[in-house]
Amino acid sequence: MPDRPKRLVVPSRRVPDLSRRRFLGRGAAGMAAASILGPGFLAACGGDDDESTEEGGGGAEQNENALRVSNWPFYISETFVADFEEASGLSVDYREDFNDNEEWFARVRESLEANQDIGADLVIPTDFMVGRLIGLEWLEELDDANIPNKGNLREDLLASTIDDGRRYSLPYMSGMVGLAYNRAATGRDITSVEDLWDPAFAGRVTLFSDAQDGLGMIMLANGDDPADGDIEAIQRAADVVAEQRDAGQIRRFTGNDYADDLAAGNVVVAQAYSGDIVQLAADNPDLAFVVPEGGGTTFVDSMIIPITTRNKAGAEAWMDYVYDKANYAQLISYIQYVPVLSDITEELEAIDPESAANPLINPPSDILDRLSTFPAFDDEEDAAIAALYADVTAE
Amino acid sequence: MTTLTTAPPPTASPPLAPAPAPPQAARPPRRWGDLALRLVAGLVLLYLFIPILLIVLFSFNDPEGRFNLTWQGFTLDNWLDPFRYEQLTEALVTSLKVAALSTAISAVLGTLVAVALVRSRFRGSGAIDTFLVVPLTAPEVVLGASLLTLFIDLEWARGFGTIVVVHVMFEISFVALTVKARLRGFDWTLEDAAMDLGASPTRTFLRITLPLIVPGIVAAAMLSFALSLDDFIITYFNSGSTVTYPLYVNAATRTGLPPQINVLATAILLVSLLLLGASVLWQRRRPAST
Amino acid sequence: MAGTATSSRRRNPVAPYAMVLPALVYLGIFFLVPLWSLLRTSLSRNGGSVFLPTLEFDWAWSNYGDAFSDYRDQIVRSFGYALAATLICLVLAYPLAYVIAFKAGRWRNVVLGLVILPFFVTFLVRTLAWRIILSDDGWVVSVFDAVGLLPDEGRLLSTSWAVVGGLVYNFLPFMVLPLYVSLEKVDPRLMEAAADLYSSTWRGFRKVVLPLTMPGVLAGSLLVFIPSSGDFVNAQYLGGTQTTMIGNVIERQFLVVHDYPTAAALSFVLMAIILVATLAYTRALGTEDLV
Repeated sequence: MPDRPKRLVVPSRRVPDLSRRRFLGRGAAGMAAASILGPGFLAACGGDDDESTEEGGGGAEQNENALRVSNWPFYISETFVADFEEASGLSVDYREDFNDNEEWFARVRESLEANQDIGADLVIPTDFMVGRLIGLEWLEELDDANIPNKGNLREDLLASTIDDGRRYSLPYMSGMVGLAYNRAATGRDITSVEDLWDPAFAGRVTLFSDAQDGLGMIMLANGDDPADGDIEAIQRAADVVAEQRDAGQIRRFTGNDYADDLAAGNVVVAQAYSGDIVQLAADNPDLAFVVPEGGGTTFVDSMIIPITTRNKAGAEAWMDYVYDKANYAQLISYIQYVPVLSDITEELEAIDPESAANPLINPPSDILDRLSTFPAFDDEEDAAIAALYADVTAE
Repeated sequence: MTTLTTAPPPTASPPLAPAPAPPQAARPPRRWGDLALRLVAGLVLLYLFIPILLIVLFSFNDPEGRFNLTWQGFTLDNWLDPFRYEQLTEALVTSLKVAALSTAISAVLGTLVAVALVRSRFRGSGAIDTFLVVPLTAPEVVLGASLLTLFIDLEWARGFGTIVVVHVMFEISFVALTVKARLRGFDWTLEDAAMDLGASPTRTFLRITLPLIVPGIVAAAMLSFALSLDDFIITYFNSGSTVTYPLYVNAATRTGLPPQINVLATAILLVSLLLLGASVLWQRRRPAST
Repeated sequence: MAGTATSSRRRNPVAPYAMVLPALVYLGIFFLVPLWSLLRTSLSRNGGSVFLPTLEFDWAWSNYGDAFSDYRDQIVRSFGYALAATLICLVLAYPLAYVIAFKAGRWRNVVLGLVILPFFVTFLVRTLAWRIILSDDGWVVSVFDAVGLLPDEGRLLSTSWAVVGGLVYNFLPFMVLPLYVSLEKVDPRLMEAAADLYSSTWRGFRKVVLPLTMPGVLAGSLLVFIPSSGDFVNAQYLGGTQTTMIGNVIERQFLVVHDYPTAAALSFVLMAIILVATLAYTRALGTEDLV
């Protein structure tokens, strides 16, 4: 991808307290409430919190022996955590509580702003979120000396517009955003975005409600490249969607929940993630996935370490462990998305030849060439894009 | 119960004995009506369970992939390995604990409010009446986020404790409204009678009033429990790293819901049914009470 | 109200205040304080960066005006769905509550438990099950089609019918339980008397039983109508492109667009409308105070 000047707006470190919005300030009500029911009262009730913010402030209490990881559910092979614990000697509190990027952000935003612990030492959000976090300066810079396996990363992911040189994040898993379809229902092979608009499929087509995942392939079909980050091009794609929506072509806008519509036959062509189709196709061989002719986009989920972490070295050890090719092959075999490491074919073939041969898991270079991604947007552009697409999906 | 040493009292005739020989025409419609009523009620109950039946069925499904969406074949494997996904089980247990604890607290707070509001008209009772409805009206997203702001300002760590706190908050109104529906038309002179006989207000409340309104409290508690188990968005904002069952399931849709979710759900339903059935049997042994 | 025997005794005047105090303090801290902060947000403008907004309090009443005019369709639609759901719930719940109260005998707690039991399976799992059952090729849709009851789109899912259906299904217990609670208190002898006095059971019901259970009807209606108006999950999973409710808009403005003032203003618009509707409804049902 061509070199582009960074367009991140980096706000200066916030001055605590004075300029932030506050309701009553840490005023009467806050104090009264705190005195009536101090944190100790509820800490006594709780069993599971390991977070304590009595120290608050910048110097987070460190804990060298434990690591708290926050990840999407079913996004790790079944023995991985136990194996890592054995190899590293750390005790891992692995939580599958990462639900949705924006919801997670809404939840941790104020904590990170206030430098309060968010309950995790390592989190695995999607790259657009990583870009945002970098801009907000809420991530620890990685110490490459602790991650010798970093060299295994794919070249194209190392030179990333989100995080050039991957100084704050390391990709964990990637996937392709393309079109899934039911061959038996369509009667033919689907090859391009135009097929989404085929009147024969009226009311049986779904699109993503997320702006980037939904509009990427449509922009490419219009001849625009998402990597240019051109808002007008995004608007053009959104207009196409709005038109089709009004014509009744689109059944609904989905999050991750398109799979059952596809499996049930309610929907014949859907924007989809490659890994889902690997799973669905196992039960229904009629289902297929294709990266549209004009091109598709990739998503990348990356590991990051928030500034409130309590075990930076431990998190880096985790990253290094993930990047060991043999370990990573385990992950791929279970998760069945697209690897972020370069060439693990050998290791994968050794444990799971079927996956190694699956083009959705191990895509050939001609498909990889058709994939593009969005750059990092500054916050105003991000909001503008979200707003313009929300208007289309929220009629 | 006083035992009588004299002859047993004459059996009282029913206070409103039907007039002798009502016209026969009045009878059959009532019986048919009764039957129709039971049928409709049964259908509604069945309607509530339609998806449940499917969920139970799919707990025996044998999918190849990680999605449990189309019937592939029957297997007992899922039932033999229900706790395969540790996080799932843990989340479920957490949710049950939160629900039990928050229900207990909100039942107490809500009942006290309900009784106070219905029993006497005091200054401000009208305003409190209205105020109780307001928490129900606030959209969960913004309420959840605003609560988070509060906790951050108070520097309370988000976790099990804060989840219980927010659950109690939205349950109180449900409890109060439900119990009040029970209390309307309550004969407060019963309390007067008890106190005339020398009982203290507290004792009166505990021994006379409370037992009579227990159905209302139990119903309210059931509602609260259900609400708590199912809450997603307010919990999401204020749960820190604690994972409740709805949080876990919602996140799992991205990569697939395994049959174990169905298995655990079915297991809970079965256990609850058994407990309910047992409560009936237990009641039978006690002397008949209203 | 019939049958209310109020206490004539002079009681400790402090008692009611003491009884409401815990709940009030609790709600004061954990509801009013966050609500206040939300109110301030609704009257602010988004200065600073989007993700770290410095909300400048500005008496920005225009936020309300804009919110109302931009999303009027969704507002109207939400209340329409909520009203439909409430009415349907009432019709479905009453017979069930009646049977539990009068015909279930010692099994009543079991049946009540059965009514709640589906909640033990989370919303999403229940809803995904419904999506399998109501799928376009399923027999449910075929039956509806044969009877001619399918909506315009020619399917059940991703339509407003599905959204209302989802609301009804998920809020039915909230109607059943208050109704039951209120019914259970009715003296069966009154019903016998009504049966004797009126030529048809329906009239007896309408004249005697229904008025006695008004508190239950009111409580149930509120417990269904209010949360339904602000609901967004049913529209999200069961709706199509034209079924967006105000809850969805608020969620999107807040989480995706990061426009907190608009989200807050919309929330208050929603809350205000609900309160007005609630007060009107309560007055119409003829009870003295709110419930």
